[in-house]
Amino acid sequence: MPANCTSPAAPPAKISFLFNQDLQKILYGRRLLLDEIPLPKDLINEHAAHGYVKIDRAVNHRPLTCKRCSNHSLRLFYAYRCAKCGQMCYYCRRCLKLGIVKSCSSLVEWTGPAPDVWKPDSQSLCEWKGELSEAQTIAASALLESVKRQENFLVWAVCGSGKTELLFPAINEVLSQNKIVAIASPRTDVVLELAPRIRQAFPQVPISVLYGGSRERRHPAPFVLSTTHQLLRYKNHFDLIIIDEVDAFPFNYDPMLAFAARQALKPSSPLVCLTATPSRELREKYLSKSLNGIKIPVRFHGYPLPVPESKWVGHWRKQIKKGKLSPVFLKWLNQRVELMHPVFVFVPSVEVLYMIEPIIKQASAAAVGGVHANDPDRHQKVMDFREGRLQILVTTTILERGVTIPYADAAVFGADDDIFDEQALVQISGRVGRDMNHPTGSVIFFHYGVTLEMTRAVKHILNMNKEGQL
Amino acid sequence: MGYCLWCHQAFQPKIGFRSFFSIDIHTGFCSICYKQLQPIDERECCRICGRHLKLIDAKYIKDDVCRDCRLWENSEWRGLLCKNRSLYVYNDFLKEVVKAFKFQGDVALVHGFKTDVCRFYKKHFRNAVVVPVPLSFERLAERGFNQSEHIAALIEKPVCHGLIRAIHENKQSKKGRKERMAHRENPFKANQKFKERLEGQSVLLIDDIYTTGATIRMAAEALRIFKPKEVNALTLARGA
Ligand SMILES: [Zn+2]
Ligand SMILES: [Zn+2]
Ligand SMILES: [Zn+2]
Ligand SMILES: [Zn+2]
Repeated sequence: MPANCTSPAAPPAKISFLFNQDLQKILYGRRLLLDEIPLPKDLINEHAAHGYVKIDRAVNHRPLTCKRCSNHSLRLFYAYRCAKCGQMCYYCRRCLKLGIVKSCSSLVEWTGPAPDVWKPDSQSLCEWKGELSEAQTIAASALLESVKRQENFLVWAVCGSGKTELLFPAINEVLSQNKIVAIASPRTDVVLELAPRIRQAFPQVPISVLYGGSRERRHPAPFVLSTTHQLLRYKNHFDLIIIDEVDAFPFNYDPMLAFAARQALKPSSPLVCLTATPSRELREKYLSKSLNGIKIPVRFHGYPLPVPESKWVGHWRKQIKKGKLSPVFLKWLNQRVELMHPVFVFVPSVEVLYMIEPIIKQASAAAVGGVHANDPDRHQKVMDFREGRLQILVTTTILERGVTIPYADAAVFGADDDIFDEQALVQISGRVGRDMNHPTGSVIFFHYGVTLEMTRAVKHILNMNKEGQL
Repeated sequence: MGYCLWCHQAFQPKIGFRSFFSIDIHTGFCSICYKQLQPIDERECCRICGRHLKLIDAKYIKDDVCRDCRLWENSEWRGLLCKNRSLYVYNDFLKEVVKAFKFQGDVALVHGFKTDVCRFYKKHFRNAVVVPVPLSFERLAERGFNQSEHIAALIEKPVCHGLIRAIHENKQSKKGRKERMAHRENPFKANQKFKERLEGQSVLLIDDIYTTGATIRMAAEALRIFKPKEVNALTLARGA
């Protein structure tokens, strides 16, 4: 609990009413379902009657809209006769993971005085001792200036360019002014990887880490690390939100997460996007200068990105159906295993994953694991891979971003499949050679016919490397 | 084109699904998700409880009946349940789906089971009176829906609310089956309103999971005053 939380807040709207400080702390800056608040409903209603709390119906019926996540796609609603309210009750399937929003649910906001969140006792909260490269320094100060002006910003940086560190000056600026910061990512993996690094860099700052099932939750905290989903529980709260890997699936497809970030920010506060492969929309905004930003093509250790090689393996779909794998692929794989390198094998679908995993297990002496988006053991397997208990990780494209393993090599098995577009292939190549001590690595596209997307990806990487040398 | 109820990917449904509430179409699971379900082979299951016999040690099986069922049939509960059939093994994937359906309240997911539920009904229990296993009043108020009711509705036959769950069991799993059975605390009561509808009939109980068989047998026992011809059960999953 932050030390300075006890001082009474600004005089309340009606002097006669003494508000409940627990309720204030739970609700401040957020928008929660009535059922999520662990306090008696009478107490909350009483606060509403005195204007300290606002209670709203959670679903609009005309037109059908979820007020928490803004979903208005009919396909993502379902209705049934509800035993709670006795009516046909709609619920939102889009934000269900955060607790069900139904026609008979209410959303609650705090409208009373703000509590003291925390008071920084120094202007320099960042204790990171590392040094920024020249490219990082330029980007970091451009970002800092933009944040001071409260303007949105795009950091377009190649994978492994040390994006996190260049955020520190801007974060320090905001925190030291007693303001509130969030770093959010669409992926839990990224949040998990970020947390220890942030804690080390800002040891005095109370940090809340939010993802489905996280235990390190505190509220209110000046620094929040969160999945973009969890931002739906906030409203009008943050002075700065940074979205890491903004383009990572499903952000591109899912307007919900963009909505979540906007809602969670204070009205004129800046949003910063970090990405290696911006969506067309972001790219165009940046290029037309309607969005501030900076491009960092060079990697932080100064080495270029590994350029993928392409290797033809024949009709791989037919081969794996027969339980076989191309000797070209197996030879490469076994070489990597002998070098003791961790190996990513990216596959186009869960179906291919299920077919290929046992074949690799049989053909290789190394410990092999397979992981996909709905795998309940996903985090454990990634951890096992990171810590060397698994040497080969067969994965669908869920792991393109955010997972850093030193010395890793990567194979894209079936690189000619439609799922591997330019963005995905560039991201995969960025998985490799991310360690300063081992800046090079092998990336191979195993295919049955080179696709346009493969050619584009190679060109993209060559371009980034060329720009980086300037 | 439909969207998978589980992974939300667009896919081509095999057969025509009806639309619900005329607002939109909730189709089933895509082929990748569906393949993660593990159907129980009807030729290789326990004649009584419907569990997959391949998954248990052969020494426990006698005349296609598992040991648990032999214990039931050698007790005072003999003959109460004619047979249970479960659609799938309760594997990790189904556990995730049931969790979302029952505990997160994603009721729409039930439509992913529609084809199989209807197929089993037609094949094994044609013309039986469908009785969903009820929830206690408290549980129903807390959850907002009864999952068995939604499974039963898939069959598209009139449902008979022939049972009432009078006793609210706080955490069902906490109290052991033995203890509950020993105390003869049957949480179910027959609903006298449906005496005529059920008397001498073949009854089909619907529930989400068959685990020990105690719930289903207690429900069957409560119905005994109607002297049904036989009581069977259809459940989504056969637990361990
Ligand atoms: Zn919603
Ligand atoms: Zn309701
Ligand atoms: Zn699916
Ligand atoms: Zn049995």
